[in-house]
Amino acid sequence: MSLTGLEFVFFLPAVLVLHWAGPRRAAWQNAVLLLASYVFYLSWDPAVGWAILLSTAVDYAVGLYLAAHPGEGRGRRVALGASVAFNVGFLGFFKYAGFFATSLNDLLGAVGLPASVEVLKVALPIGISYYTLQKLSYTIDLYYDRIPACRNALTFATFVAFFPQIVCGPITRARDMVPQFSRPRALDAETVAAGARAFLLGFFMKAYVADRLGSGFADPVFGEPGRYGALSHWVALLAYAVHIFCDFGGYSFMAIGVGRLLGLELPLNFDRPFLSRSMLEFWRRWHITLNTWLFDYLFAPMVTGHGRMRNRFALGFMIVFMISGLWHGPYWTFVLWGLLHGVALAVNRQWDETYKGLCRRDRAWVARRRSAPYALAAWAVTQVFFVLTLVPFRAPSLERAFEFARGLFGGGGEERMHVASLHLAVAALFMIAYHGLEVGPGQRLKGRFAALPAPVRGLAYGLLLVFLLVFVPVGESTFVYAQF
Amino acid sequence: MEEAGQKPARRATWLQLAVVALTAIATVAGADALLQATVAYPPPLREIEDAIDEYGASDPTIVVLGSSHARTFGALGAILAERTGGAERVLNVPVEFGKATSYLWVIENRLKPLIDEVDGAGRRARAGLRRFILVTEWWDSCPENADGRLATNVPARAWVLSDFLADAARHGLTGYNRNYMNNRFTEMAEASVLWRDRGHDRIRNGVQAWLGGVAEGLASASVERRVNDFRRIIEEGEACTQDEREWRAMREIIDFFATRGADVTVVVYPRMPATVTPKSRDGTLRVFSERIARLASEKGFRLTDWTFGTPLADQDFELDLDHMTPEGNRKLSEWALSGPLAFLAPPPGREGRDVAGGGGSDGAATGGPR
Repeated sequence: MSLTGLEFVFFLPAVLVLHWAGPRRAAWQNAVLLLASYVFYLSWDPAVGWAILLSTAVDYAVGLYLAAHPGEGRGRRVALGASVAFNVGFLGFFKYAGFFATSLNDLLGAVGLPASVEVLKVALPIGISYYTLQKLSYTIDLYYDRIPACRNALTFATFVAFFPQIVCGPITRARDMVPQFSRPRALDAETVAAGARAFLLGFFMKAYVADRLGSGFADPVFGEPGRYGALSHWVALLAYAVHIFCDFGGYSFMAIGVGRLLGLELPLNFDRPFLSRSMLEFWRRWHITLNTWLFDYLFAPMVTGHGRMRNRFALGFMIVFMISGLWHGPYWTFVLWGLLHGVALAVNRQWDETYKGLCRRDRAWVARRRSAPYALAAWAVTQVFFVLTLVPFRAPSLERAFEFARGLFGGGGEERMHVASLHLAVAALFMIAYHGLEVGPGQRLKGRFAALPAPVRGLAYGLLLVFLLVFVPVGESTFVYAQF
Repeated sequence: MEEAGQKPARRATWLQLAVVALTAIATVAGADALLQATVAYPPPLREIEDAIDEYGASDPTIVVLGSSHARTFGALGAILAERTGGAERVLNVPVEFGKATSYLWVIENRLKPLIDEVDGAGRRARAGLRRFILVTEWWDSCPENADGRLATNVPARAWVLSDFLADAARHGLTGYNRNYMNNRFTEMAEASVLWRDRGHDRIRNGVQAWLGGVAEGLASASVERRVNDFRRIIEEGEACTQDEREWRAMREIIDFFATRGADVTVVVYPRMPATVTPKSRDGTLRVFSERIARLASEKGFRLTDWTFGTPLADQDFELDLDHMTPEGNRKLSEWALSGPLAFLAPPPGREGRDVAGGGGSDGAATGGPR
């Protein structure tokens, strides 16, 4: 089941009715949510339903053990180690066993030895990349006494399986969500309105912008780079940048919207990333919950700990982003993508350090940094870099990535894509509006819309729905990030 | 549109929320009603379910099975019924976007129970069936899914609820079985033009025409692009026309009707002339025609190959380049009934004389690749 699927039109109202019509008690509400979450989860693949049950049970038990053994005993370290080993092993088995076996066989083949490692073909449980990180953050935070243990099995299971975010995130933390699940939620008009707005925004982004741009402009050129000319390559690449943002950002907003309709606040996952003027800023605005997770649980302990990695920021960035790349999928294209971003962050940090030195010597550098040309150049470098690194991110193989990259600079074919399209224009307008509403005049415009009489706002939303009914493409719509 | 992470300028009340929601719903309903009155929309297309419902009531003498192309035989059926005074009753079963395997699924799961139903005395409940016509083309012999599942049109157009529930219990809700739900919902929401138009773009084209422009789908550049795409699809189809699973299904279809005493005819459907290139003529289309002709020789059914040689011109086809206009359907039907399918409406006094008992026939191939 998908948040944009037809079945969700029936599923969500049913869940809302059960959730709000029953007793205003956390136990009832969580029971409804857990049941709905398991139905939602099993609807993706009933055969791997056991994975989430086992995974939940293991970390719930670890949590109880850690709560029962305060202090710094060896048992706590073993319990945490067991949780980390289980989660990493579980994820590794399902997601990376095939990748490592294939890579090892390729390596053996390269040195003339026969392939000797059997490549397992196992179904990847949906959402495993997301709920594994959620549970890891729970046991690690518990071990370091940052949060109390969740002793209620129903609450913990609901936290792990909460249906709006289990497939594509946002990756939530126990410290934010468990307290919310532990108390009864109340229904208020403001939260419902905010939830409906977020859901509608997300739906527009995913079902219209992402799906139109993905299939209409990005897929054809990425599918056959050799056929199209340079302009088509650039259009396809920009279309893909918008597509991936609207696909994943759209899902995140829909998840946030559904959460609000259920009285729960999920964390923001995207915050106008295309306004970023540095890669460090970009990664604070794009897939925020994954990046904060990686920085909190990998990068920070690595470069601020007492080990060999202490203060080795550049290497830390590269390691973390290679892991981020692999988190997206077991392919060398993602490793390359992660490496490029690791290098970019290392360069970004070094540039900042160097620039600080310049500023200390001469205050004129401070003014230069605040100038419009600097901001524009920084924005352009950041965005062009991000968009270019989407080539390996989107390409199915390294060979195809290089073929596409050549096509960007005239090494492709002759064919030109038809770009005079209403959808391309609407998508561009949307991207400008979405990012522009953040700055001065945009904010005022937003305020004015919110102040309009209710019937006028209703008319605007109604016309938007009509537009979506006419222009949202027909057919199966999958979320790119559901594969990760 | 407000962003998810921000709080609005003033707090909403339940009353405001209700007004916004009701106005939005009223706007959608109003737009739907307005479009209903202004956008010309053809009646719903005939589907498998219509044919199944009709089967029980009409006891057809001729069953025509094929992809959406089978709908052409609606016109032929009407002409035939008129000429024979209702003695010949054609039932066309259109399996939208079909493949041989899809047709076989429809036969085994939807038609067979009706065809083989017996009365209390053990006789067939419907004894009218004398002929079977399979409408096919090269596309039907290409595999749809690499995973071995049947083409997506099967859940969309041929399943009933029990098929859907069984599949969902086994695989979860997938893009494949979701086709069933989507199609059923579309049927339920038939009264809404906004919903019914999805995928057809008549509203968009109408709005663009009203604004004085040429709809994207109707612009000559767009048509030219689609013609080129279609040409390429046919040219590149040669590699897939030898899918043994589809050919095995084709044989089983023939055998199913032949063993039930029906006279079997296979019609190879015509292509829009503009979409055919020398390469596809000598490649994909010829390869398919030759293989179906070999099958006809082997199985002894009547083959009539309309790939080329019909009186149809480009203007007899719809803008989708694949289906005929109503006029084109009538033109083809008249031509067929005075030519390759003339045996369906023999001159008075000769009715039924050419019907072979075991589905065999003279095997004459009319038309054929030229």
